[in-house]
Amino acid sequence: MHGGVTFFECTTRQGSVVVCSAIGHLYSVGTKGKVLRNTYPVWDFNWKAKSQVERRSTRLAKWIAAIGSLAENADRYVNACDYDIEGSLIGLTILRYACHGADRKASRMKFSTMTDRELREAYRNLSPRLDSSVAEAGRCRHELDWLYGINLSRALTESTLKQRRSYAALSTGRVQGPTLNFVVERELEIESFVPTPYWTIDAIIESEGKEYTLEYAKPRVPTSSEALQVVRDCEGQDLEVESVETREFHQLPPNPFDLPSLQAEAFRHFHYSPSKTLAVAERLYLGAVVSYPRTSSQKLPRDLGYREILHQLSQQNEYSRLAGKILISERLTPQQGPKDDPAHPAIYPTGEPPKSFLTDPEKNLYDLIVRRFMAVFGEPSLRTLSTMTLKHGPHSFLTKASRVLNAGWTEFYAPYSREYSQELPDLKGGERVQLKKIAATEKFVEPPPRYNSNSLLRRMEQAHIGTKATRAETIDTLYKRGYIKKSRIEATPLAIEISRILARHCPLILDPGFTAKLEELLTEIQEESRTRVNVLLETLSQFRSVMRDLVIAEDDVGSQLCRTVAAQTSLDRTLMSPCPQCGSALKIVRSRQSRKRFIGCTGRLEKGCSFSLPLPQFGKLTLLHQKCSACGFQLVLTRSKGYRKMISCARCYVNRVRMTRLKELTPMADPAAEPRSAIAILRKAPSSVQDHKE
Amino acid sequence: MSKKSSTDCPICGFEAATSEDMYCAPHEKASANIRSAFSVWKLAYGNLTYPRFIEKLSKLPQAGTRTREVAKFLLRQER
Repeated sequence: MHGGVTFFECTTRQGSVVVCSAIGHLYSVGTKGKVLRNTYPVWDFNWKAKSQVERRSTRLAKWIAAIGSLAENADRYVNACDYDIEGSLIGLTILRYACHGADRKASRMKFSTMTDRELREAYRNLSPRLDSSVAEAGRCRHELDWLYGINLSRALTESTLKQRRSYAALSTGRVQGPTLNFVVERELEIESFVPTPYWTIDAIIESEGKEYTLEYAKPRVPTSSEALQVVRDCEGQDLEVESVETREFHQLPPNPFDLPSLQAEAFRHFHYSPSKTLAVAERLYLGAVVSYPRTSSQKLPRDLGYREILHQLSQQNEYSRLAGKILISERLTPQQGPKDDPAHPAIYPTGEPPKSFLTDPEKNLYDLIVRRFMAVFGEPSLRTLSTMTLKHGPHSFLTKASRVLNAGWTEFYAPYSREYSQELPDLKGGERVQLKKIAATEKFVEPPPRYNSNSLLRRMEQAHIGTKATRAETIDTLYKRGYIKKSRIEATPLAIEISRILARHCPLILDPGFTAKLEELLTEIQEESRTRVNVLLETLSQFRSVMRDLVIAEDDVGSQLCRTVAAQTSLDRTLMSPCPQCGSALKIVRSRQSRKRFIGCTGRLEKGCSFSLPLPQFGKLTLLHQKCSACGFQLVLTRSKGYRKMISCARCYVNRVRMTRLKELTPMADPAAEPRSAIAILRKAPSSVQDHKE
Repeated sequence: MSKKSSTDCPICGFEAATSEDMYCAPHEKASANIRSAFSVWKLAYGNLTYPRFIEKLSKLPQAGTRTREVAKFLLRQER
């Protein structure tokens, strides 16, 4: 320990080596000099210790002091942070600011797994210089994100605050703005959606005592008259088998996992949010059981040593049979995907068995990664797809079936591969079969589907906004700000208003093309075809005019936002459950005299209702969409710093207090008469991912 | 709170999309969608009247919330 910070020291032939962790960014962008928090626009910035910029990062000060002190008298420095933009930038800023300009003489360690073998090899083959261009691109990204974020967010918050009617911390940014706009556009599309009617024809035939469902050749019949005509023509009639077509098709093995595809698959099978998948994958990486997860590559280079990894996997009971089966092949050729990342290969298991206990999410994700790794070495699966066409006059009906001839790679990827098998009726061409049932069903076109965190992540990826490492975090921020809610994402009225205001006053911020262009410029810095200063100047010249327009429209923006913020705040404090005495809405209110908060009835003035319920006086309250299992009243979540989250039912709490008092007054009361609902529900709150689903 | 003017949306009270529009932007969009959908519905059902169309629309769960609001408003006006 050195100044409260753990470090490791070992002795080699060249001398003593000190290793100290960086625990993420220790330096961050901040305002140059003293600038009040309500001032905007802000253009002057510099890199500062994160402890000076963020109140919650004060503990990082001792880290900087410890690293600075350990670095004194060192003759060599190595940046061994993760080999990516963020890792390069973390190392560069620490070496430059905490180690007094040591970045000029530092070398870089490159590795993709935390296995003993790879770390030793990476230390032996150090890159003589830091990857400055990568770090410069990262630096520019942070500076631009800070400039956009602080100026736009302050413009929104301060313009609302100046109206003196309501307060809310509002934020937007270079990536947040377009992402939110995707959700808002979809929300507006759903809100104003007009469904179109259509009819489906559902028919059933019976062959050898088994029923088969037929599809009408036209899956959507546009008019009721046409649908009824088909039913009238075919009812009680025989259908003739016109043809039976069978074709075989190969399904290639899946591509190795890059981060987005891992996040998509984890969402599909386990419903993990992208940020949760990333966090779990990082824990597995730190445990040296999988490779670096923040990768865009879908390729597994030969020098990884496929055979050795598979051999190690075959030592693990769960995978011994399958890994052994792959190892029988003389040549191991994995399926390779189209995407590549020069820094890291696709995500793969290192083969090393987990050294410590894995939690359920870690076990699930590890299993998914291992099975996918084995599947990419599998043969293509072979299936047959058969289609039988049956006719009556001009009307054709179809029935389809599928059969697996050779499981191929799907055997290695089970239970994550889709297995479906269906049989055709045993009928030959020209044979006739009676239609048992036929009906036309009126249906309506469904509105476009809502985004979920996975499909929103894919949309961001398609539009080239954000990075693989930050997209999940951006989505989490939208939840935290109250802009989006539920797992099938809904935009709140506040989000719709912010998008509308930004579209009116600074449409550039919502344009995904603008953000994608910026990403291209950042890539050019990485490729050394542009400099950081050049990109900053070019981008800021555009952004200054955006900010000028926003400052001019401050009053307009403030008055529009204010109304929505006030409405949203009121909505957030209103309970779903009505007052049990008068039926009016119940709200969380604060007493003007005692300053205590409680649930009060809004019918107090009109109806003279005095119904009220107590609430916890400390911590942040959130009204949940869940209802109490005992009394059906809306549950309240209380979050306090340093305490466990608490979900409670205000009504049950009161009942319990009343019962206790009653017992005290009448000690002979029958305990069996106590109602079940008089139990305060105190239990651990769900995780943040589950919160989103509420 | 701003005073209600003649250009406010009769459904939600927000400012009308343009001076020529009756509704605010989201309700105006829903109204335009309703207008263009009527011909498709008429063709689909054969002899569908406009009041019957908006009545059906106002109760459809697949219809958007703004669409249902406009349909209910139009229905009240029809009556």
